[in-house]
Amino acid sequence: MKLDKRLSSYPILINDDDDYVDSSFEISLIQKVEFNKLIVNVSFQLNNEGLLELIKEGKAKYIIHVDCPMLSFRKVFSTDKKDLEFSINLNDVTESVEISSMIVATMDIPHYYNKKFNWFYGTDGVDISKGNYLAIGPMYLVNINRSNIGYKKLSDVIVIQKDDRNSDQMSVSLDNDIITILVNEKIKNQYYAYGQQYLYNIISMVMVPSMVYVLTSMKNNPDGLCSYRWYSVVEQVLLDNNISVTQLNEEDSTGKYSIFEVAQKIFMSPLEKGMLELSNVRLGDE
Amino acid sequence: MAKEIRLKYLTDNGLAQLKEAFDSNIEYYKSKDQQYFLNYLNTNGYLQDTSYVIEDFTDKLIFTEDLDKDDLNNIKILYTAMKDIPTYVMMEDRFWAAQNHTIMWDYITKRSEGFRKESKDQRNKLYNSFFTHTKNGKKRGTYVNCVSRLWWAGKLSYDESRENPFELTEELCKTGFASTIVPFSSSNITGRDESRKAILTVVKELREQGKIVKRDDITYGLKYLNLIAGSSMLDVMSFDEIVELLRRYYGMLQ
Repeated sequence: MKLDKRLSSYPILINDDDDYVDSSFEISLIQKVEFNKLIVNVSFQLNNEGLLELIKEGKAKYIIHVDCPMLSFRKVFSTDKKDLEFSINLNDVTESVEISSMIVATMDIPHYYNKKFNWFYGTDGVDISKGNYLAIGPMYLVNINRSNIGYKKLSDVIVIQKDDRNSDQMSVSLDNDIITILVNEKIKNQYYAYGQQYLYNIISMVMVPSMVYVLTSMKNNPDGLCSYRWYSVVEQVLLDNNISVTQLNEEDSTGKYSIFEVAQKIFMSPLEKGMLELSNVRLGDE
Repeated sequence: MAKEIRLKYLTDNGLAQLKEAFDSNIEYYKSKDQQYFLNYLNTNGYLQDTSYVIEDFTDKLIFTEDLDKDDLNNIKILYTAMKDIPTYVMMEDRFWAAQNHTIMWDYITKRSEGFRKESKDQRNKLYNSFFTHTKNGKKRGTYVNCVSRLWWAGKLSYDESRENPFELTEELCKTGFASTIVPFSSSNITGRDESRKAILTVVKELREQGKIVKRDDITYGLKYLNLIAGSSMLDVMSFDEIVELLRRYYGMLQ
């Protein structure tokens, strides 16, 4: 669960934020899987006397929020202790689960004042309502891999398959977790026969144009496609090169954000190497 | 004894082939030629057995002119038969596309709008009737597909603690469940049982008081809960507290 602190009119303890001084809220998390259950042990590390006092008095609680939006799974665990153990049935969640941590008021707290408030909040205190966030800790994404597929590298999420229609044109299927490039049987056989020898030619002919389509689709329909696993892998490749999906552009054929150029760069600009492969063949013929 | 069936799933490749070949296969879909698909999928080994064996429920599905009533019945039948299958499987296109080309074929050809009337976007309607992962995303597509949405409507509203566990499902179906569950797909707060069941419980109460609750009223209630969740943690509130919030909210609207 991503929380937006800008909505709040009162101080919230967040690391690297300045509502509080000389204070911190961290968690450490250990996870294991046993008999189809994800068991998580959380330990809260709160460095702020005022908030520790509120928890001791029962006016606030540590909260762990577990969310898997894809399957509409959302659960909350709360405690006033420094450690918490909980488990989730793996049947109820997809491949990733968000685990967020926070401290929440369990009752209205009028004129709440904390010695570590930043000076600009003054000393009059603020009125806190039940359910208000008092501190927001880190969020973790726990990945559960059910298949043997890593979904990490580009090569994990692109596959070339024989097109049962035997079409002369290749096509690319995107509404699956893996990008599937379909080519007719003859081409697929040749791909396997010559794949090593003409690697960069094949990349230029098959992978680069497919990637142009992939990037254009990502740019035009991020909300629809972002739930597919290939999307986050390609997105990460872009981010590693300081490019976000929104920056991609289809108009220009050159430039850092040009889809045409990015698609070539993703495959290490195969054109020249491809030409070399062809000239090597010619040399071999002579 | 009731007949049992072993459910199938599609291989990754089989699913990709079917999706890419959709346009060239569209006449087979329009002419309801299931045998073509069964031959194609079986010959290529694209249909595989799952480990799920369930009671054959397909002859209990009903089709009359009263769609809301049919939907309620069909949600109950399908969800009861499949409720023990893990939830993550129910978000899989490979699972639903297999059911849709096998045991649910007749249901789709009778129920799907793509078959009921010719329209400009008939192609997309047919596509969305057979596949759940579409260009609109996994979750939305699964809430829109006319088969998988039956299961998800059951999942979102089934409440074991009630004498009639489908009591809240009945509320969903009073406003056309197909479009009522779509806002539930995009609202994250309704992922929590307490919030989702609270809103349906209050809707039921209002109707029992003789008030007319339309689909938009349910959407407004969801928006209101989202608003609350923006400033404080809705997820720490109990079911009763959320019910109380919503009673006040709808009370103000009357």
